[in-house]
Amino acid sequence: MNRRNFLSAGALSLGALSFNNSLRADAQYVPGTHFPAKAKRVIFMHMVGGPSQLDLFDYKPELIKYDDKLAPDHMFKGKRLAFIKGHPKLMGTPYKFEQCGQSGQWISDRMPHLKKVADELCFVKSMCTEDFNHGPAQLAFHTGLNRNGNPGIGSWMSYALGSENKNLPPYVVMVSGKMPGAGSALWNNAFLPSVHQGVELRSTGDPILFLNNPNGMTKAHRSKIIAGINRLNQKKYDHVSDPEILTRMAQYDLAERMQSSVPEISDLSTEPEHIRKMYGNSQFARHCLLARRLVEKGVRFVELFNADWDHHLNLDKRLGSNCKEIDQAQTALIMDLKQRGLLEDTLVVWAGEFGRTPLKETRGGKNENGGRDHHKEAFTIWMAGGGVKKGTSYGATDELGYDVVDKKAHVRDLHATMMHLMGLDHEKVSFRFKGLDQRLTGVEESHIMKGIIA
Amino acid sequence: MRSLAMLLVTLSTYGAVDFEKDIKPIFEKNCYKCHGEKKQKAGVALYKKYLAFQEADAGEPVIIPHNMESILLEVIEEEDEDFRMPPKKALAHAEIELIKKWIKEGAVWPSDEKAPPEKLHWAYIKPEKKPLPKVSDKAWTKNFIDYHVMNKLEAEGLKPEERASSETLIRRLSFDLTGLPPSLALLDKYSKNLNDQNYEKLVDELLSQKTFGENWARHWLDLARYADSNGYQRDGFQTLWPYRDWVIKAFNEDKTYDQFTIEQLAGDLLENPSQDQLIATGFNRCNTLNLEAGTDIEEDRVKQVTERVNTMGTVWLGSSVSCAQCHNHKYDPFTIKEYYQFYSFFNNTPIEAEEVDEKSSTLRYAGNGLMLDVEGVDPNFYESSKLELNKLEKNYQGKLKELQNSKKNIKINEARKIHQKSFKKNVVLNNLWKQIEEHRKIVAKHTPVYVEVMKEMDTARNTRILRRGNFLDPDQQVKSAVPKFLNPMPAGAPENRLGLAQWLTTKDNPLTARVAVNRFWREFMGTGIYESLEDIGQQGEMPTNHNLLDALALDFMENNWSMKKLMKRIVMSSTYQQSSVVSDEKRAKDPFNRLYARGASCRLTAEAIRDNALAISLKLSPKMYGPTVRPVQPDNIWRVTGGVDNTYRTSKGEDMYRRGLYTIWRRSAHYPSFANFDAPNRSACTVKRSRSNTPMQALTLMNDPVYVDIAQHFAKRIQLLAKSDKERIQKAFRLCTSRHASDEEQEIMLDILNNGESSQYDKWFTLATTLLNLHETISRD
Repeated sequence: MNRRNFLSAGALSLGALSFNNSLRADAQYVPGTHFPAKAKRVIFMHMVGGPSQLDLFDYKPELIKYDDKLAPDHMFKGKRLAFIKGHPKLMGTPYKFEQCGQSGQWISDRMPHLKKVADELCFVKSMCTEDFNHGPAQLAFHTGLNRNGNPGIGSWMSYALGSENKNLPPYVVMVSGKMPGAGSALWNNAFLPSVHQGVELRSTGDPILFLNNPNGMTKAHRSKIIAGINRLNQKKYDHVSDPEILTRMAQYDLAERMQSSVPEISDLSTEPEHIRKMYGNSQFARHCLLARRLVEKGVRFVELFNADWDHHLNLDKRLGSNCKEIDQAQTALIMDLKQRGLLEDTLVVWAGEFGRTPLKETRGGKNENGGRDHHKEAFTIWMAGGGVKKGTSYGATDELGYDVVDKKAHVRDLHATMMHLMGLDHEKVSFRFKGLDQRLTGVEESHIMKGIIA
Repeated sequence: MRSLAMLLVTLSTYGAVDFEKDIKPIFEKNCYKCHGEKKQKAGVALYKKYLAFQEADAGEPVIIPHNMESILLEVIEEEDEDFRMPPKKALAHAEIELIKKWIKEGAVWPSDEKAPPEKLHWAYIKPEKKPLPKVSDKAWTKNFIDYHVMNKLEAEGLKPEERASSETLIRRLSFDLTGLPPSLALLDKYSKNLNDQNYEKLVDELLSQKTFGENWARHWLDLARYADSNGYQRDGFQTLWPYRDWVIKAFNEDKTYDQFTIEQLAGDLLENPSQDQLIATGFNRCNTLNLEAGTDIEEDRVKQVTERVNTMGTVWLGSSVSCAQCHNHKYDPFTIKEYYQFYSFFNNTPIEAEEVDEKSSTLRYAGNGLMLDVEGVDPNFYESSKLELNKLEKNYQGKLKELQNSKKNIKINEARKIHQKSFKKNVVLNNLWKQIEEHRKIVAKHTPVYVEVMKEMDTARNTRILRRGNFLDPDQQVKSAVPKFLNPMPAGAPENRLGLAQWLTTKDNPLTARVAVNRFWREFMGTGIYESLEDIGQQGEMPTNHNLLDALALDFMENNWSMKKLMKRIVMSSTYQQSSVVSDEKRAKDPFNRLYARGASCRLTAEAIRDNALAISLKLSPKMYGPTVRPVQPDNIWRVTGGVDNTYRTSKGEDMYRRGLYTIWRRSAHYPSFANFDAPNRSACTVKRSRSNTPMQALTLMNDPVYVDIAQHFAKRIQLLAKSDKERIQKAFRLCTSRHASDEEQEIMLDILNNGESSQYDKWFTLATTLLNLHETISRD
């Protein structure tokens, strides 16, 4: 087999798994959907630290009524809380909520822009998780397991569906602000082949690590070097006919193509000014615009991490500035996707790793306003596009926003549902490891949230 | 419907419940969908007596005759819909009453059918010595390995490949044993005549290199999940490098695998343990520790203990015992009870995190550090020197304050700046500074190192089974013990980690040797005899050559667990020495080389790729041991959230060019070039690395500043290799591939050289970077 035949046989995607690899032939997973997909790609926005659902989306007038009153026993006695000690007080939201759009979705005044697209959004108000510390909860939210060692949802999607664009990585990650607590483990491929690891698009230095040629090396010179490498590799292949060499050669060609495709896509100056204005100026805004450009080019899974939503104290000041940073951009992203006809088959998910308590947390410091502790019992996320019901609210919490009382949705239910929308049966997307067909949703039963599917 | 149930009640209230008539229909209608022949959710099956009465996944049977607390009764009467059975529609009151009565009467179920006798899975039966199989081509067979391989090949109608070329073999051995390329001198020494005798000499030579230990430590450290940080959000640093050094030395000394095991799992429990034996227990301190504020300390401690059990299960038993953490193993005979009996062995070490004070939820490391006794380091002297240093610094600051006539305290670094700027000639200051510098050196030299080790508490913790693995839901108490279906504890073994380690390494243990030899085999032959290295159980792959696996395991034990002898056995075989070049036809017949009718061609590991490039460019530092080093990495990789130092201070001098295994391993911010070549972040035990082939790898080798630097050094070296370009090219190629370039290859290289000039990067750089990027350079055939 010569190189051209090999390539035209279509056996190669962005990073073909090693031919000589250790997998048994029968364990090779063939990427593809199990049934028609409603969404083809995902933009996953992860608000690191756990944004307060009670000050943004989950409107609780009763809680406002009892603001600053001692909390009833069942909300803290015998409960495990990360930081609150003693007998806490309740904390009503200080913000104004209003019903928005024709669908009448509740959104607080912290997110004035988002109100404009209320009719596109589907709120899930009944999320729950099992961990109340950032590291484990973030791992669980991404990998289904609260310890290190499993691949994240982006890696699973890349593994399950492959890539639509051969010149860009299938799974791209961007981080605004500090790193999430669990670090790069959140987009690590773990036991899946490393082609499926999230590739970080960076804001400083090379857009992708090691993408840029060394200082002063011209594009033409790099091309020549790659041609030389491949000429010698071809000679070796002619001698030993090891297909692994052909893959290696193709990866060098691809690396070269990425050297133009990645800067091209990261260069926002080619966007018309009114579009850039629409997104705004923050780093997160840049990432939202990049996310749109990436999904437009067929990148399967784009994840945006935004730091610092861990408002134990001084919630008032900090929540406001966080919202300011993201509100305009996230809204612009929805509108922009919509005006391009991309929203239909792009699933947008906005979530933190857990929510925040209706209980007030203070640590008795000077000039310190209260905040809220980590809350795993109930929190809110929203989704849009990609086969999700528009202008809907799914599930509910009790009057004080402590527990889920309707349509409880575990993190693994969200994972199963996201896979379902992508045309995947979450029970069939598996990888043989440690004697088990490992799955994102693990061994416990998960339920697809049928009520949110359009 | 209801009337029927009523009727049943009426009929049955007066007589004994009849299973066939009264109970079976209820089961059929309501339960079989999930607990019948097709599905047995949660391990509960109600369609056969022996199944219904046996333990379900949760560890006890759902029906216990006469027991009104049987789980079956509990779940059908449950009020919370989330937990009730059947989930969608509750049983009628009458039906519940019938079942209650039936159980009360003894759950009479007329059936003689017994569970079929369990056939013990092959891996749980000790390997037994068998005569060598018959082969027709005896000339090829060098040792027992070849008999077993040839026997399979003949059965499959395959022929082995020719012996690989001398140069290929020298390269193969050099990388496999030492992780480094052969030097030109070594190639010259052996390539002319690599007969069996010389081949053995070469093997012995490589086995005795210190670099051998470094290479195999790298491999073992994946299993030990060795890293230099705690993981999770805080991801602070932990000192374990003395453990890494212990592993290197253990391989070099050929510490036998049983001793190697015992010291790592239980060195602290040996009689009068040496410092090294204590350091060895660092194996079980390598696991993650969550110091994120607000973490439930007990929850994380339980996680650590389970992780230690699971790692022991993977590394020594090659079994997924972790499945039994929440319920009986679905496929293998490990029960949940047996899981917690294992757990009990590891449950007696002190807590590793503590709250800083009662008010806050901030945690700190509680430490069980062992202060190392290092020659030339005197901790008492350290204390007194530090006091003296503090005094000197105060004097220095005070003197400067005086000179400046200022009342403000000045920090030492600022003071030094002012001193240099304004009082350069002040004798008092100069003298003080000189003394400060001297004392700083003394303090640095005598700073004691604390390494993390295992320690048994005086009073043992009670261990209870944790229902569904939930630490808040303890069940019955259990004692340390080993699973019933495996060999018993050896006579006289204590019921602690030491006893467990002895149990793992008795020759009666059917798993330990097989699991180990298979792992070593894969490193030499590319694929394991069974490829599910982490699972030898029912769900694992059957060995492609069972007799070979057993023969290797027996040989390993007969040689008193010598790892060097095992490796020598493998590399001395004809099987290992085959060429990896095959026809397309033969490749198609056995694409994954599961029958070993050829040698293996493998991409090198992440660390070996870097070590190799450093060696080629003559930059590799031979320095061994000691604290971790920090080679150049791009800015902004360390961005860990927790309150720990994120400054990446690049090492200086030769420490920039040490072997990969000395590179700092930070779990949440993995050294990027290693991550791109499949090195795990070592947050969990990794049994085998994948060998992927990606564009990120191409970018790394071409553009990572480390590799650009290496190429520049190699470019200089090439020019010094010979006088003529032709010779330079030949030698450079040989440095990278260990073989001579063909005429055609030489032509291509000359062409690259002659057209390789560009403004900033000369033709030698072009050639150097080209050669360093070749597939062959980063592989061993």
